[in-house]
Amino acid sequence: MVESIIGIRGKDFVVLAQDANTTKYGILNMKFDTNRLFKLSEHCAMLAAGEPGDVVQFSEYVGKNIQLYKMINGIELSPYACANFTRHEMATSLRSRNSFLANLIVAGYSTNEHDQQRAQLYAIDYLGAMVTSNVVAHGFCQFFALAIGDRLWKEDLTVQEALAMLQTIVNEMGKRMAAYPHCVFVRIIDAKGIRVLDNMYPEKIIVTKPSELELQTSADMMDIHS
Amino acid sequence: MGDDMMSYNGGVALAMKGKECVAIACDKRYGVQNRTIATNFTKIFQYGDYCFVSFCGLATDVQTVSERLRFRVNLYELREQRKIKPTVLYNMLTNILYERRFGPYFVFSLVIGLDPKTGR
Repeated sequence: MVESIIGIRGKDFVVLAQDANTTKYGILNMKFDTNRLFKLSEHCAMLAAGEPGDVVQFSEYVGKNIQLYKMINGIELSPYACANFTRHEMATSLRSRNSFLANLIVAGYSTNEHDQQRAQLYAIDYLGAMVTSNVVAHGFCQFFALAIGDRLWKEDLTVQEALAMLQTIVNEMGKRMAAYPHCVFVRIIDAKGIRVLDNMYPEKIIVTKPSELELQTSADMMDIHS
Repeated sequence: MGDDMMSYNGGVALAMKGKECVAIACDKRYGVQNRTIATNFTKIFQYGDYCFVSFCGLATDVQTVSERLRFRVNLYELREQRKIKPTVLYNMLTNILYERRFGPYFVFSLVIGLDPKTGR
């Protein structure tokens, strides 16, 4: 819940962001360069957040199986297929001995010219419910990301606008979340593949000093020396 | 306990029968408890020309059961070389749900259709 993963879909790209913290015991910040992105194919990737062991185990399992499909059949799975496969694995494991407490975002760019919607973005929660949307997020940042997305997302979103929206979300997270995201890793998936963009940092909060007037008590105002 | 599962994602579906017609409606909200995450999550699925099924309840089971039913209906259509009838679809669905008698899918389903021969 504490880790944030966000996806924003534009006209022909998807921007993926994840906070880079790993916390322990609710209070310690162990690491501030954690990678939560798992590549599924040349144009498809998955962000995963949740129970640390489950995240890595499940993501590697799904990622390797998708790569195996490519090796056996010689073609890469589309983002839609990757997402449905992932959802199926998550749903099957739910009622078995090993269930995974991992929330995922699967995003990709479809290389099939016949697809109407080339940039694809799916959110899969830990129960295996899949949904597709323009802005998706998991964790506490969901409250901020979805609301800001409702306000700022529009058709034909450009990369700059998406990154500006993301910066707004990160600033809000920095202001309001007790688990302060020191650094946010940003990637983009488009026709050229998966690329890493510059890190994003929350805006520094400037708070005015408390005034001297507050230091005065009613006892001070009584003149006891005369 | 079961009620918790049913209201985790929420959802509503309504079906009605009229004279030589049937109608089914559902909401499109995908939410988690008090948060709405998406508004494009339809819960009605079409299997055949005149058959619709709607699933309400836990979202993951809505998707799992609809996919399972789609699999069985596709096999039926390949083997029988004809479209499935509402009564047959209904029986198939009850079979799928009863397979999980002790570990159920948390869905309520509505099956609606027009029998092509009788028009009922």
